Amino acid sequence: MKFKLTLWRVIFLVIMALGLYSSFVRYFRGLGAVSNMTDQFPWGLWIGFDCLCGVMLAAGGFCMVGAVYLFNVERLHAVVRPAVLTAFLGYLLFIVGLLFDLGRPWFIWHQMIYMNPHSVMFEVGFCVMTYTTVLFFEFLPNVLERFNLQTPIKWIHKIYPVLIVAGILLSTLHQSSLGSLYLIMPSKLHPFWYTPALPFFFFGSAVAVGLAMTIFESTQSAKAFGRQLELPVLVTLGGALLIALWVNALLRFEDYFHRGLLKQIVTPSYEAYFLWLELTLTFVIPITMLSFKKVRLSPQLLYLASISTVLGFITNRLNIALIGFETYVGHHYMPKWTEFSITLMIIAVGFALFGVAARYLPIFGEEEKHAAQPRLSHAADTAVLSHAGD
Amino acid sequence: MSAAPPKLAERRAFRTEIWDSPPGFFNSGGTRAIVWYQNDWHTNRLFAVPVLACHFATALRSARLRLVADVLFRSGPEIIMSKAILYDATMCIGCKQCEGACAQQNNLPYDDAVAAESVQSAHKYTVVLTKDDKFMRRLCMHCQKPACASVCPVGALHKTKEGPVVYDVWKCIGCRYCMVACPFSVPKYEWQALNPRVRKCVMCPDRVVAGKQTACAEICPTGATKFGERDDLIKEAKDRISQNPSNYRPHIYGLEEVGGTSVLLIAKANVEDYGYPASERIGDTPMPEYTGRVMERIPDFIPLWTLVLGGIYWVSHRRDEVAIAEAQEKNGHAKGQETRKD
Repeated sequence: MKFKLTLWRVIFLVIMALGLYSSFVRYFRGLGAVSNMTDQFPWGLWIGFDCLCGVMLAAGGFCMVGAVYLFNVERLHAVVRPAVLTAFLGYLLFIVGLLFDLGRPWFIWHQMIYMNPHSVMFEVGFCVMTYTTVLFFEFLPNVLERFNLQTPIKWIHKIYPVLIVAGILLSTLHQSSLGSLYLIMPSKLHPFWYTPALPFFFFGSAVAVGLAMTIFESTQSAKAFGRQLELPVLVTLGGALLIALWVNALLRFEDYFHRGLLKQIVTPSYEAYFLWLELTLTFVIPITMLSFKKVRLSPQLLYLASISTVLGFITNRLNIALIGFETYVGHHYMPKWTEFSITLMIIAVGFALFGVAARYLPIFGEEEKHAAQPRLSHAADTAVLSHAGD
Repeated sequence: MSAAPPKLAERRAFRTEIWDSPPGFFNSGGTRAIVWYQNDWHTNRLFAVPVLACHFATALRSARLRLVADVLFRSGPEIIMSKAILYDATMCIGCKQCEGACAQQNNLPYDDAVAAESVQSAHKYTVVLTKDDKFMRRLCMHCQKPACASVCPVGALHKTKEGPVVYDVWKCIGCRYCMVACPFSVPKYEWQALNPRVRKCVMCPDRVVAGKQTACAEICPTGATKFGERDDLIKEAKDRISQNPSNYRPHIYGLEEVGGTSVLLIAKANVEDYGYPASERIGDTPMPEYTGRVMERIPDFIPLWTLVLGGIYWVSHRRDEVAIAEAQEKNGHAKGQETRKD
């Protein structure tokens, strides 16, 4: 196959080259050289984006598995496989991100041996580890089907109920525990974001983002692979997203109301600007959009609403991880370009792997794949790489 | 004092330390020999493989010990008769000898340039701050219920029953949660190192276990830094304040803050002016309780949630099975139509 240099491929290669340079700096010059993290700001972009957002964005897996296998919503069957693939890749890349962020990544396995049951981080680590294993088994049938290995598929189907229940249990635990991580910093995290309800908010937003990400990725891959959009699927997801957003919004309001912060959040301040941005993207725009039936029936507008939701909750996580600490610390934290480049590299690798898997594995269902075959070979590459720049 | 070049003995890759460890929450105590490899493993790659192998073996052994200890003796360290440091800012003359003694004790560089630094860092565990001719020391507060120890996923930090909060570098994975969680922002990091460590005052644990004072208390010429039993020091601090009320603020910083600390501060000035968090801000609740309230529910939550999820699964799939069975009955032949694929 001849390698053609398209614009997106060039961008992909540039991102990879910069990322590899930064990785070199990270492992041979140390964390201080590669990042703007300091003793005052020990957690930077990598924790805020790669870890908090990475796990949140991979929530589509457990949401769709829960909807289809647990609640038996047959309509959504078509999106389970891409959602599980996204989740599996998301968690793998989260672990890769961790290998960059940990000061002593070569001792990451200590989690399994020196366990401290009081630590939220231990719980998150353990859940992520087990859940990635569960996701591996949920993803494995794709590979087995590709090679037509029926016997192991039967075995996996036998343990499917266990995998499903374990997967959702573990997701509930660690999605919420990522919020619990911040419970120990009442004097440091800004009151806009520090609340005893953090674990509930993290779980609630993970469900909303899971739905939004599923809309986003099925629209995006439909575009990329020239497939028909499953409109009934999108409409169902859009309705569910609206409900999830309302629940989230009401809980947030309740929280601010009970803690007597309603006046502060409308008073302009550095934190308030970021909070407004977050609340606009997470609640105001998508809830307003989705309240119209026209929007819920239009794939294009649903796509926009889901992007707004995803960006909004990314802002939320970054506010908690970075902005919320700036007042306590007394200065701003701006990630170094090398930090950005490693994050970008991880995202680019994620999109590339998704493209490869979508191309070679029966992710999108056999019949559709055959129909799209003639256009697939070229479209897949460009499409995959086109995401890399997002 | 300047940074001396490392002596031959220190340049060896391995150093054996005999450590009398008290029975703690996670270890059974007793005398342990700890083989350190002093240099970073990347600087002597030759040793990396055998060192990692030893490491793994030690880790497994320790896991087994901890499991036994956890099951049989499920109790925290009893903090009675624990040691503490009382720092009386009114007696301090700002000679910074404690800084020098601390650096020497911990093999850290110390010279005029370091002495001039006014922030705690990976190479300076304690700092004497000056403001309006008044002095204040900053050091690890050695909380009675330390946030850093509770958040560490691998238990690299722990509170000993003698009082010090100590750090086991060989366990550390470098997540830096301790730094984020510490209400006093004490732990510092070796950002430039390739195998970085968390650095903080550990209250000279080897000296304390041996019944000696900490290096800073021993060298203090005026007695501003005093080492002793925590209960005795609290009594003494109260006496000093009541005997000379015009000289002190009527508050012992560290008596109640975050559930009490093993470092107690009394002063005329406000400790907040020297970067300590205000008492109202950090409160009296031990930090681990904030996450503990959630963590303690997890053992109950897991079986409950599993039951709920399993129940939902059973109900929603039972409906299908019933539908299939009914269809079979209706059609009167054995093979029902399957509605589900997976």
